[in-house]
Amino acid sequence: MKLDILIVGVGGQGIITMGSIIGEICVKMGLNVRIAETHGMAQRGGAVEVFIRIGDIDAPLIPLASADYVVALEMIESLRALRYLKRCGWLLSSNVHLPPPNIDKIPTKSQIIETLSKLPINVMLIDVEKIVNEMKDSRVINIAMVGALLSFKDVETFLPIDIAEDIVEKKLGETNKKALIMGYKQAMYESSRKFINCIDRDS
Amino acid sequence: MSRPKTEILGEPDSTVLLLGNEAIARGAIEYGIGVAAAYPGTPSSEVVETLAKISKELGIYVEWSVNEKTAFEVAYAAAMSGVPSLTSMKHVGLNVASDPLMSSAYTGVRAGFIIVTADDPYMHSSQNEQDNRWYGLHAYIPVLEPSNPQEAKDLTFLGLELSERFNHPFILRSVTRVSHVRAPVRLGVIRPPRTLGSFPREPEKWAVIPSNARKMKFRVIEKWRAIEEVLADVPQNRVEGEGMVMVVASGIGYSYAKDSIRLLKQKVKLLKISTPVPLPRRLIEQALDGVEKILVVEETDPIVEMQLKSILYDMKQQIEVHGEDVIGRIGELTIDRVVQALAKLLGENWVPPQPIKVDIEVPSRPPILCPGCPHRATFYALKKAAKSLGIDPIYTGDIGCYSLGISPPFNVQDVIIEMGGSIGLANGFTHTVRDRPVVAIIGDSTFFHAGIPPMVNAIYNGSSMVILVLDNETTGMTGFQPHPGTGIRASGEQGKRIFIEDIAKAAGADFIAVFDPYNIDEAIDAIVKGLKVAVNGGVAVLVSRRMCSLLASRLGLLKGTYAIDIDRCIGCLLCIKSLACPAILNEGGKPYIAEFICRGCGVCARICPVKAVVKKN
Repeated sequence: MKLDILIVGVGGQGIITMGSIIGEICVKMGLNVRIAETHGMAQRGGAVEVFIRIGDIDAPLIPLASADYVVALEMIESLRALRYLKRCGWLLSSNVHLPPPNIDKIPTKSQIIETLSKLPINVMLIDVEKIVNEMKDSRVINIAMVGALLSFKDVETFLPIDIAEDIVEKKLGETNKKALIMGYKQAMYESSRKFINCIDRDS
Repeated sequence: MSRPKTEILGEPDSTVLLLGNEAIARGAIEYGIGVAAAYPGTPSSEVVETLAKISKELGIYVEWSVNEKTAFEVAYAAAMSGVPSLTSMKHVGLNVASDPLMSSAYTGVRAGFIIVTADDPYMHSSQNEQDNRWYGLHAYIPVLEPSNPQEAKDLTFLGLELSERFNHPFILRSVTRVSHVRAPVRLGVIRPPRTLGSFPREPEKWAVIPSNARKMKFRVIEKWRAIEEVLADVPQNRVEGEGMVMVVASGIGYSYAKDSIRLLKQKVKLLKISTPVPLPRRLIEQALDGVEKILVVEETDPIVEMQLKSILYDMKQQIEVHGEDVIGRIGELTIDRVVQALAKLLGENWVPPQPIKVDIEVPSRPPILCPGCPHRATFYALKKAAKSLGIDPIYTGDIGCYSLGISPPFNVQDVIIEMGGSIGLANGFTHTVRDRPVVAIIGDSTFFHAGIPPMVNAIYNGSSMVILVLDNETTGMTGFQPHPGTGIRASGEQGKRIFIEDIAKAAGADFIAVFDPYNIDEAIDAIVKGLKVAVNGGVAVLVSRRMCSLLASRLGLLKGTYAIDIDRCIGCLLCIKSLACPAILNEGGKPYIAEFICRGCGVCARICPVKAVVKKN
């Protein structure tokens, strides 16, 4: 068994915390896991990647075109991460759009969605702005996205949502637990947001 | 998310999720070290950060030292006096500590002494990707190399144990993908720390005057051979599987080799190496049976490969050896690199999966100065001041967040080499480039680390320059470690605060000014004065003091946000063009401040020509 998840976003969005929470769930479930993080220089508002590998693996980095899931906290970063996603893999992206400062040619939200919809991958957009508005706290985006990831059957088998709830509550408090559940529910029940281009018949 | 103390101090036989660096710290306390000292540097900082957090509970002495050389000496002296110790640094930090390092094998120690070097292949956050296993060969110090966080803990313990057994220092070479990888780690027993020692008067043992050192050199060589013998039997060195092709994989190389063999599903013999220096000859001899081809997998330089080839030459073995020729020696290893090299050796046709192509240009997103960063304000003032005098200084740069001043719109880091290099290089440029003054730009922690001797040199030799110290009252880049300028110690207690301007005054600088960069006019005024001093042959020391905005907002010292008054704004975009603040966005030709990014420094409000930026709350 092996599950490769890449999380990407902009330095400061709380990506390292997402990796840690998923790692804690793995330890609780007795699963082998490696989480490779970006620290130092790259955290200063730059593009950040966290590689999560679960199961029968040793190496910390996911090979190109091999990730089962890419979770993007920012839409432009979702494009940059696509080189790691396998064909028919799932891209979960938040609807946050943070253009890097002082750059002229920036793909807009609708351009990004249009581009993604043509690719041989499966895409789900999570309306985290809605969750942020309801929670009145912009710092919960990361954990809401963890919730969305756990709504997928092949992820939840290894990383059950109830275990995640306990760990998030213990480590990050009640607000984050609520955000986790909101992300989970949105991904699970508002399936109109999914656009599926590709079904991998081998898996 | 840093680990709570309770998990670092977790029960034996429990499994916890640890960062590689936390695992190294745990290995050291399981052994019972009494002293740890370090200067922070990515990817090494969390080793001593973790130890600092639990120093009071354990009753051990932990310090942030002023630089790596001092950190090394603190830990080295502890081990000379019989107290087991650890020092930790990034790869380039060991260059700073290399003076005592080179003699430490000569004297040896009286308790376990582990030198942790965290190398940074691919230079995620560094100026070069030197492979510090060379230091082991160079200094006669054995090197242990873990493949994951569990081994990082276990080999730290083993290194201390072997160090104590041979009275000889040991190096633990980590890399970014061990130090900054989180993984489950099974904990061992924490032994009571040994914190106090003694130092009987035996100068023949500890003073490396020539007559003593000559005798010591003989003992070093004897020990080196004895250690190599013992390293052959370390349980972290082992053979897995069978085959005519053997992969010899050291450190993190093992994890990539393992996954590559999994992918290819072929019969391959795997020799796992955890002791790359010295490479134990007996280990190689025992593994060679039936082997026709060898692939060496190691991160960065061919240290194991070179020693292996030399051993095979001595054994008169004609075995085909590959490694660097097929994998390369640049950057980090990846499964892709290793699997392709291995497939080639096995005569397999390996077609890697092809990445999905995206027909849209993705803008690059390099790291930038944070919103509210005081360096932004200082750089703005510096450019303004130089412009007002009609001069174009040489900006010698240094190592820290302010290295980001290399980017537009600032362009105020013309050369960056090493810690303290800003002032050191300025000492040279000022004598050879006579038509442009030199401004040396250095951070507060870096000033204490390596900026004082070159400042003294400049004042003594009359080398004119402006030394601009960006004092953000912390070590920002590596995660807010305190330093002498803050007066806070590693354990959190208040010590003496040392002021940069006092040191400059004592050394006899011609002009000294301290200012708050958020007060832009005051900052420009001070820098103009400093530049005039440098142009007239003097040394000016300017201290731009304002706490790091990330730290200040965490401490609740920086509050509120600003907004653009659209009616007043004339759309000149000066704020965007001259500050490049991530909080100010361009919304159809007019600036817009993203409230959730703004930290409320107010610098944009002060530079706006029509006062269109207003405080919001």
